[in-house]
Amino acid sequence: MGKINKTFLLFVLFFVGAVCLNFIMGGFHLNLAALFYEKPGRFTGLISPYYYSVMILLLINVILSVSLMLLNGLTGLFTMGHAGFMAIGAYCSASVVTFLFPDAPFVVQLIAGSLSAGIAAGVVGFLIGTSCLRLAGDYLGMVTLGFGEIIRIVFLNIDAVGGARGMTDIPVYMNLGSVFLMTIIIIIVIKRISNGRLGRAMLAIKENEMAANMMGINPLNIKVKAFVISSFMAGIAGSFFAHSEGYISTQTFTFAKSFEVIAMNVVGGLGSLSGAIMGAGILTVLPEALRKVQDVTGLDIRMVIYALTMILIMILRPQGLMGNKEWKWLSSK
Amino acid sequence: MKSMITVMLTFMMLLLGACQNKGSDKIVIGNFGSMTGAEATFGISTKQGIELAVEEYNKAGGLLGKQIELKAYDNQGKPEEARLSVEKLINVDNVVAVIGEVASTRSLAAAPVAQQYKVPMISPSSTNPLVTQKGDYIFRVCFIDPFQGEVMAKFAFNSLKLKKAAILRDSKSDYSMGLANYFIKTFESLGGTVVADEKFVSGDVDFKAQLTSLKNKSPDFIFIPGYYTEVGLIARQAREAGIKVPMLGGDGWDSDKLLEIGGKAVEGSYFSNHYTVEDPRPEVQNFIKNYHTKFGINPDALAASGYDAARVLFEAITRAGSIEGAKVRDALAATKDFNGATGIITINEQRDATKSAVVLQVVGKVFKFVESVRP
Repeated sequence: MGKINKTFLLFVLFFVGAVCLNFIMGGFHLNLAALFYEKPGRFTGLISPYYYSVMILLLINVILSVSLMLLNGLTGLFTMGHAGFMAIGAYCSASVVTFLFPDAPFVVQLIAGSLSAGIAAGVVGFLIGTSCLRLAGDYLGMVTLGFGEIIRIVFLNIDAVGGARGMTDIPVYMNLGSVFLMTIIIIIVIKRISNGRLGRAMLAIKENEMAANMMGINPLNIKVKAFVISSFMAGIAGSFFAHSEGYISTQTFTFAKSFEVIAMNVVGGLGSLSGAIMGAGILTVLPEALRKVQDVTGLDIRMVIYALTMILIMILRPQGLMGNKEWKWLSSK
Repeated sequence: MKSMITVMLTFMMLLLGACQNKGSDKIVIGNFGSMTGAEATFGISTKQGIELAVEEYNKAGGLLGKQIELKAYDNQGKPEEARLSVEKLINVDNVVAVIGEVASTRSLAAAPVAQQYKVPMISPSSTNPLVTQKGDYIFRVCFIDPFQGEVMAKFAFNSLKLKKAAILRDSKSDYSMGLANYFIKTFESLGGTVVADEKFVSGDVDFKAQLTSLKNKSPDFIFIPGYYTEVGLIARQAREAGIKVPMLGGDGWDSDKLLEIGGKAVEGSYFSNHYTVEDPRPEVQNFIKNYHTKFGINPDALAASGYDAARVLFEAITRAGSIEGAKVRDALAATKDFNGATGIITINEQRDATKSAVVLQVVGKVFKFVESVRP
């Protein structure tokens, strides 16, 4: 019970902090960019909007990646439908804010958007979790892949949220400060879960479900919990995505997105929280950073390098960059 | 220690992108498109069209006495990457204007960014009406879906004298859904009937269920507003299923791949398009000749649209006499009777191009010109 209270407290803290940060950051942008540029672009702030966007995308991917880590790495449930939960979060939050609170102050939009997104995704996660409990291994992967696509196709066919055209004119209220804060909170929550009783139980189920059962752990219960927590966080990531992009379309939430998140986990090291963060960092920043290569070669070969990097990582470090180790500041005491 | 190194490496990658090209005395034009991924040919064709226009202008002395430099970024067909690449073009590369995207969804994702920084954006071939409604800096040099749907409906009803239509559309593609809607609207107002309206999803390879259902309604023709890959497969399976009626479509059909995939099955079909290689105007013939010399292949409509988008922009910059966003925008909005490869382009108040569409027929290995429809 105590843990739930603390988690709740953290979320409250987040909203309070996000409001303050939004206020502070709305007015001024640090002038970091001026340090690197010969001539500053059209922006007058501190971080170029381009890097700003990349960083927001990076943090959203970190949330996705660590939330998947809870399922894939910790509980050993191989799921391939994470983009589906993200889609629910994105569309739910975008609809709630656009249709119900279009002119509400930032706080209301943030709370309504994020909470509705998390809860909607969590509920769907609960439904999918309970209905797939008898499945394990690759079969679970197939079913969740299917569910992810079903979710996407449902949104594709709802005209009110734009259908194939995508949803436009979503209020953009997200900023780096809010996303950063939420990312930190989610990392802390997951770290605390994985070090606590629930996390140990998840790990036990991953290692040997029958033995865990004999020790008095209810695998069904734990698995559903993992599903709900993970999809709740993916939903929040979706909400942040929608309100930082201002435009969502089902093209974003294909199974390729799910695989991208899995790849982040695998590159970083399955089962490692630090690995999930690092994997998200590398796989988000690398394609953007590689755009520079084009200036030298004249040819766009960034996807080739990107793929080669992943292959090399897998050959040189099959256990992922972090293996199952953690960074010092994230490791359990 | 080890963790320190990993953190530092991640940051270094971030900074890698931050090393900036030195300020140049060139006019930089941005282009973003899907140069990899499922719709790679669209992005590549468009980029090649733009490259040709840039080369021609540079040979003739450039723009306002400066050479033009093209920055083209790939977005893998993802809306969020489209938005990111436009942010990079505008904020890091300081482009004068942006040309892109082919697909309406990605134009919609990127348009607010261009509008926010007041950088003119010209879409070569996004046909969804919503795109240019995103702001007064967003233009396009192609006709919009309502017009194309209207053209094909009128052509089927008036020229081919067909009264019973069957629709087979792609529920995943906004382009296909929109085109079908406008087609139905015009066709029914002319007095025709739509006897069947079936859907598929792009990426499907088996269409027998939909085709069997269409066949039972015995339509006079089938309207398939889709892209060439599915259309080719649909045509094959339709002929195998014994459907002999003609097939009609939109500009998504325009690719040599249609002939490769569809083979004999697409013979005799009609589709609307932005331009025809048979057009005798020197702009068209020169474009085709130069494109073939440079790239060794025949240009498709997307290449022609990219070429036109670039030339409309260059011409506007020349008229504006400046590379300032607002002045270029005003000059673009004032574009009138521009002699492009895809037709005579006039930009209207909605910042859409008004120009005629052509109807082509598949005959043997070529697309033959049938008729031209003025707006």
